[in-house]
Amino acid sequence: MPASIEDPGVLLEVRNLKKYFPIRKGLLRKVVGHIKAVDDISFEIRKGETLGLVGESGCGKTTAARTAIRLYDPTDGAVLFRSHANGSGEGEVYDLAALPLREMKPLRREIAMVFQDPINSLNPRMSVSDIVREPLQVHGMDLGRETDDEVQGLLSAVGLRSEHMERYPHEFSGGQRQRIGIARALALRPSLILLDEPVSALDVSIQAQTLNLLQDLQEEFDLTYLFVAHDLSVVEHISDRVAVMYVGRMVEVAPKRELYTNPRHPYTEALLSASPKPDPRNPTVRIPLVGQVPDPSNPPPGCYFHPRCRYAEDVCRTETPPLVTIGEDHASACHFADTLELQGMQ
Amino acid sequence: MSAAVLDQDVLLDVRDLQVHFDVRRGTVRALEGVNFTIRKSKTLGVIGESGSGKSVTARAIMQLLAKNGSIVSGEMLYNRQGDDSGDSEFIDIAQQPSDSQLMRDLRGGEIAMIFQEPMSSLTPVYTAGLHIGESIQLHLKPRQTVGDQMAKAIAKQNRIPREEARQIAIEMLDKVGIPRPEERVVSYPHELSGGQRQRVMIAIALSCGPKLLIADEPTTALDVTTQAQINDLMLDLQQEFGMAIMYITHDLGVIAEMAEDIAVMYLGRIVEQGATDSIFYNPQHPYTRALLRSIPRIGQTEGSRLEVIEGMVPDPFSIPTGCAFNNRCPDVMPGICDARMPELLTAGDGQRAACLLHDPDTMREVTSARVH
Amino acid sequence: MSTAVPESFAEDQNTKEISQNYWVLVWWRFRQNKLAMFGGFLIIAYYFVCALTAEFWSPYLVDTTSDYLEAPPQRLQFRHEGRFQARPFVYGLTEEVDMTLRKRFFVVDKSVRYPIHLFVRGEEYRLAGLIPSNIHFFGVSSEESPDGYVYLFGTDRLGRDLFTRIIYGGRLSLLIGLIGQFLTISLGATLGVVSGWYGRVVDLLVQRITEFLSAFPDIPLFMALAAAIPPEWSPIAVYFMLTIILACVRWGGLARQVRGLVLSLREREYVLAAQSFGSSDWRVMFRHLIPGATSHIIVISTLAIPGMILAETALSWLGLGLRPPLTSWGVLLYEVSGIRAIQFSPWMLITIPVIIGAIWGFNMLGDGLRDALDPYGGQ
Repeated sequence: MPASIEDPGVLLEVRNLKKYFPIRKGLLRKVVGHIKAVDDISFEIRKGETLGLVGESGCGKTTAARTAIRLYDPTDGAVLFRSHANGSGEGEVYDLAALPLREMKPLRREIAMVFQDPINSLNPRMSVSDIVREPLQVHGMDLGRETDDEVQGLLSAVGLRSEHMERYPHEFSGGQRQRIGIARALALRPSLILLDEPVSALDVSIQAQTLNLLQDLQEEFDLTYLFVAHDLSVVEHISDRVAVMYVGRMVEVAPKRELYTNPRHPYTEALLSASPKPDPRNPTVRIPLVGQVPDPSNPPPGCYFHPRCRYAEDVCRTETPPLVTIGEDHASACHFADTLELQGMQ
Repeated sequence: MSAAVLDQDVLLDVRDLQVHFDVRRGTVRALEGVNFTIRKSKTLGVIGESGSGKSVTARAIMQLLAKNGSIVSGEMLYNRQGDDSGDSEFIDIAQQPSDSQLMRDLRGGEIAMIFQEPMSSLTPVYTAGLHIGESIQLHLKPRQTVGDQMAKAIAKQNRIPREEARQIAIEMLDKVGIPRPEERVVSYPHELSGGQRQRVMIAIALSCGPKLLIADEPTTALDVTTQAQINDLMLDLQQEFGMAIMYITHDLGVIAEMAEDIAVMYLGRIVEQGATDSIFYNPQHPYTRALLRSIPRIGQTEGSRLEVIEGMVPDPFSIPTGCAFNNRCPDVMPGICDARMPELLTAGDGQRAACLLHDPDTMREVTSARVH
Repeated sequence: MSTAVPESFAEDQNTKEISQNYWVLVWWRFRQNKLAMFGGFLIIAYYFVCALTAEFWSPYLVDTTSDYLEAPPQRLQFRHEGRFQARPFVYGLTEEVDMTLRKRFFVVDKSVRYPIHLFVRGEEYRLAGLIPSNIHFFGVSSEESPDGYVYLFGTDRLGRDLFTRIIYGGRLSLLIGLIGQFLTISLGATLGVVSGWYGRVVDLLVQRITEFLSAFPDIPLFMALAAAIPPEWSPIAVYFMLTIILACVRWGGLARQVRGLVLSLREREYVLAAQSFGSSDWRVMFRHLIPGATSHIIVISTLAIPGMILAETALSWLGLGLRPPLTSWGVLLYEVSGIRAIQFSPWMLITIPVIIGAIWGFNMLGDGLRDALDPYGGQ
């Protein structure tokens, strides 16, 4: 494989990833434009860590994550993944973006996914045991009786009992369904799990249970998480590092403590200040954001955030700021990242 | 009609409200004796998980329960101001038929409501919510312009000509912060973003000068920054119009910013009600305490596990006897909590909690039993 | 595995309910719907009596003629001269001629009685084309009254028993609905799934064809296609041709609905989940999409069969479909088209309520299935 990742501690490295969806019109479905859902983003996920990916709806975080694991074909860019399937050590590095689909299949064993909606992500016609077993079947690893034990083990790992095996998804509560989805994700013993808003649809008291479960499983199965969410406090709780997206671009990446207390991008600052705080005596000082999120098929020139940014200057209207490293492990895509005094959370 | 003499400061006093729904599997007791008070020009936050009955409460006040639901007992005393004179009388909404002239006057006129997602119908809910039949009753119609819908609502309530209503509509759109309201008034709902749609819904709700605005998870479908905008807008408009707000949500962060008083609901009952400050800093009910501890807080949960509330919300057909929370309660007293129904009693900083730990009679028995 | 999971989570909420798979749930729901159950039984009865065992239930064979031309229905009698009879019977008919109207007509002759027997021996036939028999469910005994006859629904212009002909006619009409719908499903569902799943050029093509078909007026299309059937073809060949024509014209609607369904199902996250762990297209289609669409296809089809039956009836009535000597409900109605027929043999219209019964049964069944096949509330 020509691809390589320099840092042996990195599991997945995304380089200049783009995903454009064509807009088609007319009888012959001619392409009249593109929605730039993911527009040139780069990030890396280190082995054993949790990278939180936050942003508002439509910012492309889900598309970015799904393209990164080749559920969607990328328009451009590279996704380097370190596979440990054959032996130990540093493993082999593959470029998921360039791999023929046929050769993707063995790698799918190492990357799993958990979805937001615990109802839609489980086939209502299949029993729990069939659902958890399916990944094993697809990879020809269903060995009958032995697999029954395997499935039971997975269910007990996520806190479900073996009596639940022959039941159907509709017989479970939201939290339990999410556990079934997690058990399915674990079935092939992946190294990387993409968690796409895994707790957003759950009740407050069930969120805590599920977050704890995810942390326990990460430790037990040596997992790396890409955690996509819009809830800043949930992301802060579970992540090691946090990446912020806005209209298909990465605006800031930093270790969570650093990002929350010392944001270096005005959008991050506004996002943090908008996040409601369950602390009536110390409300956050809100930074008002004017206007709407731009249309990703027709974004403004320069920095996409400039029409809503209170620090915007002329250069912001014309030049696109690149994501540059500004401190230890801290990157921001703002022309004034070094000079602005931004308000974080205490 | 006015039952007891109530404080003139009170806008709505709900007493022992019980609502049942008939479903295929039997009767769902959605509300089992709900008590709370909404004060004039103040915000009552109602917080609870799915199945707690918070939305049912809102619909009961509007007399907009689904067809299989009915108010079984209880009073909802609404303080209605006379037209010109300053005197007011309390009327019991629970006694009014849903389609009575009085109810129709109240709905949209004095009591207005906004919903989670104003344009789309509910996505199918598979939990208790489905059986409880929470269906959205009010929509923005996708084929009518925003201005027409607003003008119609305003004209109907204020009994004024359409053209005049249209002017008020433009004024209201301006008030809720929609840019270029003269242009926007002819837009269709699908041309607006989610945040703008919610602004339009607020404009419609406020256009008739309601005394009470019921907001049922108004920002749940919106992004954080839009949520902040909408909530700030509601607080500003409350300053300007002086209406009371009943703000229903499951988000403790939002409620901390919005409400003066909070009612915590669990399985069709209010378990604790009091000032926001006391609820957050001195919660008296084990459920409130556990809920507050189970949410992740920025900057406070470094590397730690969250405290969880064990188990899950029971389905409406297997609600435990006694205190409904007893099977998940960390402070449960076996033999007592599953046998007795706690009443809302004063506790802590003047709030009220429905927990036997605050019932002096029960606790006296427990102590004496321990002595012997 | 010793993960720290909250212990009480294992607490079970649903101990009282036995786990049921999808089809058991469907059946359970369906059974609750009395009207749908009745519709279902009605349909089964129709198919059993008309399609499978018509020869047994009818007193005559379909082409048995008699001298009683255009005889009115005979009423089943239980009392004779005020006395109750152990065996029900019919009175004989006598032909008279009204000279002013210049019309023959029949009067009831109370002096002649033909007792009705169950399981009588009559004309030879092969049940379902296989088992030779001569037992008819009811009729007059040839030993007891050799020149007896029973025409409960009257006779037609050639003196054939209408009761017999309606039962036989149902065979073709009902089968044309079933076979036609089967062809429609095969064509429509396959093209719908393919079009929805692969999209692009395939989708474009299928969509344009269905639009063309649905935009084309039905009757001229039928006329053109029916005219294309060579007149020397045997009636059976015409029959099959007609089913194929009906299927060809009607698959578009089903294909469109299935395509829409597949488009929505493929957006379900469980399809994405299956792809995320490496399922092939083939597996996703057969394991996740088609089972998800089955219930909808069943409902759509059940509700479409009456349309097929009515189309056959309409075509035959217009003289474009089946033709004598074949007997179908449409052919029977064709024979009463015209004022004269309605004026002098109005009993021939009994066919209409029989058709309505079948259509109604299918609609009840389809509605019931639609409700029952959705037990998770819209999954």
